Amino acid sequence: MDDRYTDDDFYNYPFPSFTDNRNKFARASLILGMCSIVLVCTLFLPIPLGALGLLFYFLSKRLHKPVDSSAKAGLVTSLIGLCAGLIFMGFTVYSSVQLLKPENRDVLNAQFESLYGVDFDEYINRLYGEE
Amino acid sequence: MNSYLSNAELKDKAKEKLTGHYGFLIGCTLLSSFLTYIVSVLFTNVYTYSNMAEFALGEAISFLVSLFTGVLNVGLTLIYLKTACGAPCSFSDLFSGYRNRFNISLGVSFFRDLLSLLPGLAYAVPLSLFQLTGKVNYLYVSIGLLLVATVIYLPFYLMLSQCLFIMLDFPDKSVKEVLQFSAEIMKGQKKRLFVLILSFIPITLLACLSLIGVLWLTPYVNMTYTIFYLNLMQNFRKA
Repeated sequence: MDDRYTDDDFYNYPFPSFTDNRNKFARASLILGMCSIVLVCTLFLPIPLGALGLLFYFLSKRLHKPVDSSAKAGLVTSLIGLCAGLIFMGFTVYSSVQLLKPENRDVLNAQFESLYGVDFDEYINRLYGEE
Repeated sequence: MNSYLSNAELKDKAKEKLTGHYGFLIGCTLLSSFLTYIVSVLFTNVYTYSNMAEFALGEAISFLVSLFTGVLNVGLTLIYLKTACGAPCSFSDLFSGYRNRFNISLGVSFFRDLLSLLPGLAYAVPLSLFQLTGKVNYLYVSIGLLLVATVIYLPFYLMLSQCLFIMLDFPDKSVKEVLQFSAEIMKGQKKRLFVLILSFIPITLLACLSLIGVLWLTPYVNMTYTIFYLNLMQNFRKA
């Protein structure tokens, strides 16, 4: 029989802990990482959320101690969210700059018309008047 | 035998000491920043100036304001020291620099501010000339002078970096003794502290990207500096 069950050692029995001792930063990192992936469609939000998730991962990491599984997941999800956010943001800025170039004006007008029913030039004219 | 902790060990100790204290330390940092901001806005509202005399007056006022608000740093340092040593602390400790040994706190704050005035002025004077005259050359001079002044300033900053800890740890020392002792214990340790400061750059960029991450980063960085000082003193006393 296991020594742990003898009367003398009863008080040393390793009862399972019902309190959640996992690192709070690791959990926060995981939640923020997941949020950053889910909110990629908002363009701006995944960058701060992913960065905060990464920051919390670094704050949860301890020397000579194994990294919490939720912290590892937090690292991965935050990195994915942050990178996706940066890529989407970069692509949006790049495509906006490209569309505003005079040689791409026809494409912009066509896209604007398909979205809003009026082309970009006409929309600007309505807003600011013809010059 | 010296047992200086590595940067990774200092940071790990800081994380250990911060467990369960983040909320309080974030609150203290926010309160200190808020008070400093309010006082700065009230007294240094001289953003537009038309000549160098007004510029000099504005700089003098902002120096005096930073001198008095700098005493808050003494309270913040006390809070970090107490937290690192496991002693109980409260929000009132933030104002301990004004309550206890105000002269010493003001003296140390004066020398620290005077030192940081060097790169500030080296940058601000040509920049103000650029704003007044519109000549782009002044802008280049401003950037060049800032770089040169920072190189000169850095060793002195590192030398006097432990002043606030020392004045709290040795209450009977005068301002001169505090400055001298800081320079003494930092002999041969400046590179170590410099590397420690540089090691926070990536995580600081991350915190800036996350907008509110600075709230958690500030206690972490300050606690690491506190552990650095405690480790430094531990080895200094042994030697």
